[in-house]
Amino acid sequence: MSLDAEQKTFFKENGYVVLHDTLTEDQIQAGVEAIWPHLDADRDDPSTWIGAGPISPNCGDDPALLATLYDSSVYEAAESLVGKGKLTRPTSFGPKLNFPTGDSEWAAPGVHLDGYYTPTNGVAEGTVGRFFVGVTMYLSHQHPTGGGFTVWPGTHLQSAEYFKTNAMLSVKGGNVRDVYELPEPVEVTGPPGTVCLWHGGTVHSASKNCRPDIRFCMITRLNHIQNSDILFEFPDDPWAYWDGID
Amino acid sequence: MNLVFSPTHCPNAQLPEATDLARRAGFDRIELFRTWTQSSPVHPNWSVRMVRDQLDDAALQLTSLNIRNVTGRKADSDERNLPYNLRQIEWDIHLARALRIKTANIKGGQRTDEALNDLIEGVNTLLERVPDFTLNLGNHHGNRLEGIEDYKAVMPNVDERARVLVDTGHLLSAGLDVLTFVETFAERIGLVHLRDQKGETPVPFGQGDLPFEDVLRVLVDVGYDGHLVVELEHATWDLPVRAAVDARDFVQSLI
Repeated sequence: MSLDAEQKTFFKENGYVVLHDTLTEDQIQAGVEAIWPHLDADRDDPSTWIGAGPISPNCGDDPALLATLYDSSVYEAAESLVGKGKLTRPTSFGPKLNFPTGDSEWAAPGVHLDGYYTPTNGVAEGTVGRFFVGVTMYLSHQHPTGGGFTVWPGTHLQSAEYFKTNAMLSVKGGNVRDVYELPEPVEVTGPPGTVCLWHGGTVHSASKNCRPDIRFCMITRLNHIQNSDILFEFPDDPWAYWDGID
Repeated sequence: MNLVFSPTHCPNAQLPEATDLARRAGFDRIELFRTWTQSSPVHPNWSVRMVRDQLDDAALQLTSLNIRNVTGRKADSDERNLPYNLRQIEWDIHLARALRIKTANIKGGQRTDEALNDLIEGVNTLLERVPDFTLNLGNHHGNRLEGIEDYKAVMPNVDERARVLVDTGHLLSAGLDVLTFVETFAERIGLVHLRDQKGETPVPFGQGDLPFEDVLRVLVDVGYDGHLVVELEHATWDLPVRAAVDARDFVQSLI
């Protein structure tokens, strides 16, 4: 299912768009079942969920999780932004869980751009893993203050402008808190099957989970198939490589 | 053969100063370094499009980029990890491509068998991943690629698009015979970095141990039509433009 004109306009202006009802009940259940065996927590005892882990269980290649991306309308929706056949097809849709903290004061402190090196995130030092469309999908009902994926609307346009005159590597660790003018953040919420498609230049963060439930979520980053040819390009028209956006 | 300005002459100069010096010294070509010099195209204040514009405005052609070395190791922990190292270098290669060039210069890692194997595998992997691109493998004193025997162990085992970068300064620093090195690999030379030295000390061109005439004769004899990069590294010249002009004129008079 392609995004409609209104959704594309919202994405163009805000750097993200939220979709609901993208999965069947069976897809949701299969996804959750694929993740639970990898968690160090008792499924029947919510008290063990507080501060549990791992945050990123290594099961993103599970067919049930990949099905939520490719056997639903989600990948096609992302493709409709950049052009059919123009996006990479990742072989992993990695879970990014957010466990209850037991705290009550919600915050989203980790303001950053993705793709930047830290000593532990696997990005090679002195490189930037630039990408086009991020996909964040919930398999659980995501209520406000429940550790939702949080975006700073419009910051993708600041990225497009900033990197015209600054090296990509000038943003250490992807931290742009002191570089960008940050608007009020938006925490993405919704029932299972809620998806956020977000521009690779959008500032975002996980947020603190102040609720008792685990955030069951997957994230992947879709790249332009010609990424190596345009990796360093920040043209005057920020949508020059987005065939689906006028 | 074309003469190329090297920013090793002015390592602390940012790109505008370096290009200005190159132009005032009469060059219309320049080489850049990813590290070591402030004119690096990854300087925080410079986007790639700004670098391209600066070079265009200065009417300078970028001829090659010196990128990170194939060490087979992670720079931040020294752990052996060739795939990680290659991700870094491939990123540098795409940076070079974004700067509109199809060649880059690399060196090897430590003088170990492990580093030798990683260098061969790494170069072949990179050239397989990036078609239509060449890599010049540079010699460096104390590096995995230092002298003739090192190259004999590597060159037959890497893709033809891997060429020899002759760095005369490092050959002299290693106490090696520059002319014999050039003669041995004459057919496969992709780039020459010219630096005259007395022992390990750079000196004005023509005043050191580098046999310029003999080296250039060998290059002419094999039909080398590539670049000669004029390096005035680690020098404390009082008049940097004059020094660059003198070096350029000296080489120009011999070719």
